[in-house]
Amino acid sequence: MIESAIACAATLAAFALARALSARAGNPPWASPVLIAALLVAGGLALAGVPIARYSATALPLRWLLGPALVALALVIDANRAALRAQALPVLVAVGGGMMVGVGSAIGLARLLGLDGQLRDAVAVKTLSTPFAVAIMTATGGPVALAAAIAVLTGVIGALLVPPMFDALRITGVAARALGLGTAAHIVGTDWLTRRDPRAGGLSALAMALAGTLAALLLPPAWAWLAR
Amino acid sequence: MRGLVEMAPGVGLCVALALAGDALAAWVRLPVPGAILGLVAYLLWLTLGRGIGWSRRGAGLLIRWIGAMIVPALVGLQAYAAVLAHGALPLAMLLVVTTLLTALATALLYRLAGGRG
Repeated sequence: MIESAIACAATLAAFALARALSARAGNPPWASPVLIAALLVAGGLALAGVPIARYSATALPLRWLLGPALVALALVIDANRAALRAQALPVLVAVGGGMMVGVGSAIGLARLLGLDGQLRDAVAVKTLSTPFAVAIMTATGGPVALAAAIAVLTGVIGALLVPPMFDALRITGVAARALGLGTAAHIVGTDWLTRRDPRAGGLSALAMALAGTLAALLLPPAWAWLAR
Repeated sequence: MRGLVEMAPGVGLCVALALAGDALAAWVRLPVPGAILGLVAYLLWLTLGRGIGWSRRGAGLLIRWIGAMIVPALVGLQAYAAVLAHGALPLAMLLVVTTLLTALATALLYRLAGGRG
């Protein structure tokens, strides 16, 4: 009980510190607060000589809160209700289709490259925001830690490479770019965009939350077939 | 302290909806994360728009700290060090290619479907 409280408090503190460090560096995509916090915690555990398994078991309450936090993400969709209502069909087609391209291309390419089975499972949810990726992996019994890390990495890669790609291909539409970035680079891309253009950031957040919700509803029932 | 009191109802609502979603998914043997059912219920509730303003502050708090809730999962990554070391290069290639493809497909689909801007 006390050990749980310490583990959760330490994790929250590490995350707060990581967020401050990232802000200090000017919030570049590569300084992901989640990654920095995980490194801080792992380092702290190594110094204190606490086995990771023991930390995982004691930090369970914090992990459990991911469920309620996922519920709370409905706010993100609701906050951008006006944008969704104004262009419901194009937005749903783009985000739903883009999400499927993200999942399908990852599964296909993983097979083509002969990736290990656990990596294949993990990359299937790479395009989703990490909370959704973790929820789906938990529901399907997949490699949760691997999927979480790959999702974060995907966000970093997308935030760094997608905007230059759009520039190079002369894709200039603000909405098209925002939806593309939100679907491909979820929260990291959304954060990056929000700092430059808050309204476009809203669309990106909408894409991220919609893609995650659609995937969490569609992927687990189809998992046996997808992971074949 | 007052902030905590203002946030409690929203946190409570999200916890209740997550638990209800888990229970419903288990009951009807739906193979989806229970929290997603909670998300859909909360979204419907917000869309109907009545008397839900009291939940926003607490739900916002959960969203602000969602990153911290992912940290325990990430710390477990060490268990996969061998898998990662072995597949690092193809994995990096896959992530770059599929991420660009996903963004491009989304933007093009938006235009094809008649989206403006």
